[in-house]
Amino acid sequence: MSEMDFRSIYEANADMLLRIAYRITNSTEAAEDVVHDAFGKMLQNNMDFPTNADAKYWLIRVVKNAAINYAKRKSREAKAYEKWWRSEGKPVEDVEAGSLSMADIGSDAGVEASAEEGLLKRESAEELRAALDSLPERLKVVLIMKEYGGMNYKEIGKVLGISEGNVKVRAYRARSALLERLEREDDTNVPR
Amino acid sequence: MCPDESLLSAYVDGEVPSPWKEKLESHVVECPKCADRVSGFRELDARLQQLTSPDAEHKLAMARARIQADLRFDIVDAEKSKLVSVLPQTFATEHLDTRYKRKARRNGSRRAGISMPVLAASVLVLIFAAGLVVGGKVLVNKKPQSIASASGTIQVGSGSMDSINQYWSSLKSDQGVTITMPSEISFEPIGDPVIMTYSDGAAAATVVSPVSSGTSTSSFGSAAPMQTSTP
Repeated sequence: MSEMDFRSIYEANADMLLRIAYRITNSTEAAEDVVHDAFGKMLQNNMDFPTNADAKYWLIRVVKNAAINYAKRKSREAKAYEKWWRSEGKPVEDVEAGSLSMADIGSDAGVEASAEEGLLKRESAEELRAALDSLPERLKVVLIMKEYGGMNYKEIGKVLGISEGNVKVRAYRARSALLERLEREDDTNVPR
Repeated sequence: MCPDESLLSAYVDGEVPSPWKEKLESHVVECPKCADRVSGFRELDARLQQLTSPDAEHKLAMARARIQADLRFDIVDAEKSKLVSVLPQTFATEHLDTRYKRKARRNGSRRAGISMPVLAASVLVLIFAAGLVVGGKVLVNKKPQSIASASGTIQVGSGSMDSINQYWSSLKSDQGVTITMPSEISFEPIGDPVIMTYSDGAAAATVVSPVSSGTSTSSFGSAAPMQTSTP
C-alpha cells in the first residue's frame, strides 16, 4: 500500500472511526488506541483492498470489535469493584454515585454545567448515554454506526454480515428500546 | 391501517424508496399516532447527535492528528520492507527509538534493552542468511535489489555480494549495519548451502564463494571480522 493510498483511506475514515469507537467505549483515549491499532495493523500487514470501500468496511469491523472488547473489559472491572465494595458492607449506591460523578461524565460524555440549565442538560445526556450503553450489543452497534458513522443500511449490513432487512429491524428495535428506557427513567424521576 | 413501525424508523433514516416513501409521507400527515412516532424517532436522533460534548470533539480531533503523525513511521516501515536495506546503525537506532517511545507513551510501558552480544549475534545471523541467498543462488526474484543507505542508494545485481562488500568496506570500523531482507523474496532449497563463521582473531574477514567454478575472496573492513566458506 502506497503512502498516497494510505493517506486517502485515513482522511476518509479516521473521524468516523473515532466517533464510532468513542461512542462504544465512552473514552476518547480508548477510541484513539483502537483506531490507532486498526490503521497500524493495516500497515503492518501491508494489506491491499480491491476498493477503498472494502478498506473502510475492514477498518470499521476491526475498530468495532476492539471497542466492544474494551467496553466489556471495563464492565467486568466495574463489576469486580462493585462486588468488592459490597463485600465491605457498603451500600452499592455509593459506588454508582461515585462513578456518575467521575471526570469522564463531566468532560467526555456530558455538557457544560455551569448553570442549572447546564446541569439538566448534563443529566439528560448522561441518561441517554446510560440508556444507549444498556442496549443489547447487536442493537447498539447498528444505531451507533447509523448515527455516528453516517452509514446507510447497506453499508452496516456489509460490515456486520447481515441483510439490509435485518439492519432495518435492528435500527427500529434499538430506537424503540432506547425511547422506552428513557420514558421509564423520566417516570422514575418525577417527584411524588 | 398504520404501517409497521420499523418502516417509520427506516423512513426517518431515509431508507424507504419511492413510491413507498411518498405514500408513507401522506399517511404520516394524516395519522397523529404515526406522526407522533416519527417525531419521537427524530427527536431521539437529534439528542444522540448532541451527545458528544465539544470537549470530547476537540479531544477526538487531537487524537486524529496524533495517530496520523505516529503512523508516518509505520508507512516508512511498510515501504522499506520492500527493499533490502543496509542502514548505518545510528540511523536505525534513532528510528527505532522514536517508535519505542511512542509505544511506551501509549502503553505506559518501558523499553526493553538488547545487549550488544545479542545484537551482534542477530547481525551475524542476517549476514549468514544473506550469504545463503546470494552465495547459493537461491534468489527466486531475479530483479536487481536496491540497497538503501544513509548516504544514498546502491544497486546490487542478483547473485552478487561484491557491491555489498564494497559498501561494507567503506564504513568506519566501529559502525554497525542492519540488513533487512525483502518481504517478497521466497526461499527455495536450491544449490550448495553456505556456512558463515565468526573468527575472532583474523584481521579481516574472508568471503569464499560457494559457486562450484572456483573460490573467490573478498575482505570486510569491519572490526568484527567474519568468514564464509562452503562446507
